[in-house]
Amino acid sequence: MNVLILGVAFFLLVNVVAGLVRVWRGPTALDRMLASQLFGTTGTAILLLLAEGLSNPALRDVALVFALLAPIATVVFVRRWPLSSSANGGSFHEHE
Amino acid sequence: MDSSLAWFDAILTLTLVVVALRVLFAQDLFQAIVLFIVFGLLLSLAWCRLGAVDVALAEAAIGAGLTGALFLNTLATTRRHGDQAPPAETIDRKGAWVDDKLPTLRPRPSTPWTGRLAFGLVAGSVTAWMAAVVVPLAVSSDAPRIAIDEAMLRSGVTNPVTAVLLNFRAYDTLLEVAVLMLAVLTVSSLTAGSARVSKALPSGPVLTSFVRLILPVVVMVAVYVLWSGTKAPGGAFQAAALLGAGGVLLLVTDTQSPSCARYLRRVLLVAGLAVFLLVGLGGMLGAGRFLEYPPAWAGVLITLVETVLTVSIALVLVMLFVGTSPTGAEGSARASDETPGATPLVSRERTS
Repeated sequence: MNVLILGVAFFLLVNVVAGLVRVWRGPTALDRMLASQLFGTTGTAILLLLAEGLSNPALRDVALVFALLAPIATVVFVRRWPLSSSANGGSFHEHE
Repeated sequence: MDSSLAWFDAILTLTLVVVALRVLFAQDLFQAIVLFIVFGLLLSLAWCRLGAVDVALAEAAIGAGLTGALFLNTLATTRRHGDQAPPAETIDRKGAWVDDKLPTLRPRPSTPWTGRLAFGLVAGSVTAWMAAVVVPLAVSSDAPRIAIDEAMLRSGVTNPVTAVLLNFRAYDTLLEVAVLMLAVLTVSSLTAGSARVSKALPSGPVLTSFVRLILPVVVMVAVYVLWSGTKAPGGAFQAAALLGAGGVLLLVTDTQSPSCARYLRRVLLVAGLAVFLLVGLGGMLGAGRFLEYPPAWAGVLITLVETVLTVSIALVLVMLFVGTSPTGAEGSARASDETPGATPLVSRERTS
């Protein structure tokens, strides 16, 4: 069971590395920000798996903090980034 | 099991180094910030693998969470106040930001090689000196662990990290809090008088519901992290980062923020340092030495100091965010006199 759990944790880490390519190459700020959001989710999953696989329940608290704080940067990006605000008036709301 | 863990550690370490190098050398500041957030996440995973869950919690809360928000905010601010305003062509047809028009580091005049060599020598010898001091320590025996185990009985808490931070080495923590106070004083005095945090765009239904849902959870988890700090990983700094993140959420959305009088904010801001100092002085009177707690009271005093510190540090973090915000200083106190959904950021940019 542990082999499976830690194997999945490893697979998710490889996923993060693959996602890094998007942060690295862009091309737009939005791409980079979305990719980093993926890491928040994946990181939470990795921590939960590690908590189970290494039987260290304290890691679940770290996962909780990950899950709660990962959206903060995105919210700040969406709200404070003037050009994404102008994108707000454009592409995002076109579908509404 | 061991092999997949070994691979996990190998890839984690390698990625950390590569991401760190890229953060340092990326020309595009936005990319550097996003990579810095990712670096915080990965570093937090690394601390977990090293068994330092307290540090992992702090890194997740401050490094990956709040610092990223602070940096993004600062970059947005400096870009708007910067000398070259962003031309219209920075937005491509899809409304997204074209990468190569983002603010980049200006190329600096290169240092002559003699200067580089001197700098390298100084840095190298400091590193070698530190290694000479630290490496022999690592070889030595279980003595520190035994000493800590003995002292733990008198510390008033059962989490060794909290015991070190707030009892054995409380002096360091006290000075750290003082440094935070200095930082917030500096930021506030630099931005004093300039307007308030703008809540320009009305937040849509998604963001509003998100904030309503997440804020109570953030507060609850902060209290949990603070409370569990006495016996498990957690503590004042981590709880404060969570509360501070909640405050940042309130600041950047047009949710109605709880307004508080200016004097009350100032009292809360210094309360952590003040209570910590008073407890330290009390120890001087009672036990004879500064910051020495009487063993019977240690647990209560540590919890008291941590609770007040959490509120103060959270406020410090929020004030730092306010200080780096586009339209400047004050914050929630003045937010009430701003009409909801006033001027959109974009048109304000045009008029200024």
